[in-house]
Amino acid sequence: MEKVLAQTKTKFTTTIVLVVALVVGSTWGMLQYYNYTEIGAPAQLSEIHSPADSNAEFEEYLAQQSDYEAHFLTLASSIKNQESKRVTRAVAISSVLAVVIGVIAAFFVSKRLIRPVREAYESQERFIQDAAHELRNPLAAMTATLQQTKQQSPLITTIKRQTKRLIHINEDLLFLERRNKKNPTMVNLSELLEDVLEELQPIASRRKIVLELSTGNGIMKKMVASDYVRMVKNVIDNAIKYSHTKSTVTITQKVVKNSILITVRDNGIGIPEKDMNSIGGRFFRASNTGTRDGTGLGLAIVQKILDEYDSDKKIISNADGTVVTLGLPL
Amino acid sequence: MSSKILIVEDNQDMRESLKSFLSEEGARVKAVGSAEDGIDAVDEKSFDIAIIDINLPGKSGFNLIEYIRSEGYTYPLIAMTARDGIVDKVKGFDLGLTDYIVKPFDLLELRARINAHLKSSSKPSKSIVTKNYTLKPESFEFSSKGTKIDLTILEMRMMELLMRNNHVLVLVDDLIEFAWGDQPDLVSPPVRIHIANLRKKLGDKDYQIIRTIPGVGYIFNDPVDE
Repeated sequence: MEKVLAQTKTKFTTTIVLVVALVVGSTWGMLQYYNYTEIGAPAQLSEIHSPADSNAEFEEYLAQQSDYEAHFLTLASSIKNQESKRVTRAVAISSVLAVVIGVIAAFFVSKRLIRPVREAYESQERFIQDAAHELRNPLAAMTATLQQTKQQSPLITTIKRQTKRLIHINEDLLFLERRNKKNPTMVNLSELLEDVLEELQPIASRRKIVLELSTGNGIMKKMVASDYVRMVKNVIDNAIKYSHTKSTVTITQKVVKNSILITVRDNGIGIPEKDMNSIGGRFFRASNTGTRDGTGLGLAIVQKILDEYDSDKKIISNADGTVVTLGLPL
Repeated sequence: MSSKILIVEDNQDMRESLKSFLSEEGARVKAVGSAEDGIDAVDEKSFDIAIIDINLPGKSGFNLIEYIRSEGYTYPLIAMTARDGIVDKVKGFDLGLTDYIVKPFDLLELRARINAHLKSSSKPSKSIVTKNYTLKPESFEFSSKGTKIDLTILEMRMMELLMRNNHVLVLVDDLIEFAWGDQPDLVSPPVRIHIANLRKKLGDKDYQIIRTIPGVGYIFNDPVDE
């Protein structure tokens, strides 16, 4: 969202610069034109002679002046020349001035324009935060009660599973709308990635999926450890979830130039081409996910973390599987 | 657990749940729904530990904590909160809070915290028994379903702490302190290697009996949950 606000602000600023420049420029130009046609030119002419009272007098005057025609033409062209120089200079100055005024005006106007948008966004963000925090209370009561029930029935199992799911969605929402980031420290990404694979191993084993890891040793980065874990866990978890059983998910992590590249490759169901643009949107789930469990927030969280660390991702997918590459600056 | 516990929680279902859980664990529990009733309870009798919800109608949990400390009581106070950010800030204010737990939480986690803060429960038990495993710290014996498994002393120490906290997260730092405690010169003990060896000896090839929580710690699970 911060990104969207920044983009909006840039767009606002450009538009306002253009509009103000256009207005100021054309007004200045028109003033110049008015000065020339209505005041300048007649004044110049009046220097040559005072207007004639009648046609006859004018013709008589022309006859008198015919000898000086050449002189008159020279004078006229010289005036024209001077005037056109003056207009050109005025236009040049006016356009520079217009742009300067435009930029200054745009800066203030766009700040004002963006304010209600920002306020609306922040109030929405606060609301989600408050709501999610408030939901933790009944969820806590549900968890505590369910944990003590001695009843064993498919019904209880379902309620337990759905409660866990609710908690999961709620915590994901809280993370997506979180305002204060923890302090990053130097963390060992190689060890963390190994840990993440250990954590996901039970899920992979249940689906008879082999996790293949190759990571450079001792890759260090200043980062919040839990951010890194959340990010790679979501990507690898997706790969496991959308893989066919008895297949392999390959995870590599290496340093290339000044970047850490993490690649997760699966032989899964792939992402349909029509869904590629929507992927990573909140609560979006690709059309072929079927009955697989998921909240649709996983990749949105990955994107949020990537944004926070000036990082990027690339997804290539076809019917044979998906390759997700995360690129983090070292 | 045969301690006297005060619970202050406004959500009735949560309050009843906590009360019945801790009662079943053998504690004598007094459960009230507001900070005001909490103050009355504190005045009436003494407790070994209090578990206090922060967000209460009327006076807040913080008021109650302040009151308890101002009256000179030193027993541990655990705050329950739905907002993880708030306590961090207030912790710095040093109201006298001992610990806090963020909702929703696992009751086993709460029990582990209570036990950790109650000095009485820190006396070592003769043996630790979970569904499939038995560990006897005094005779350095570890067995799985009656079959003896040889562990090194370090592995035995790590296993002891993990089993004591069955189903509850054990932080890497706590593992190090517990297992290596008397070797402060060791910069970064190879916890991961020892965990890997333990898993091998337990036959835990799917990392389910000892689960990894990346960058945080390990959870021993016996029986393995679904």
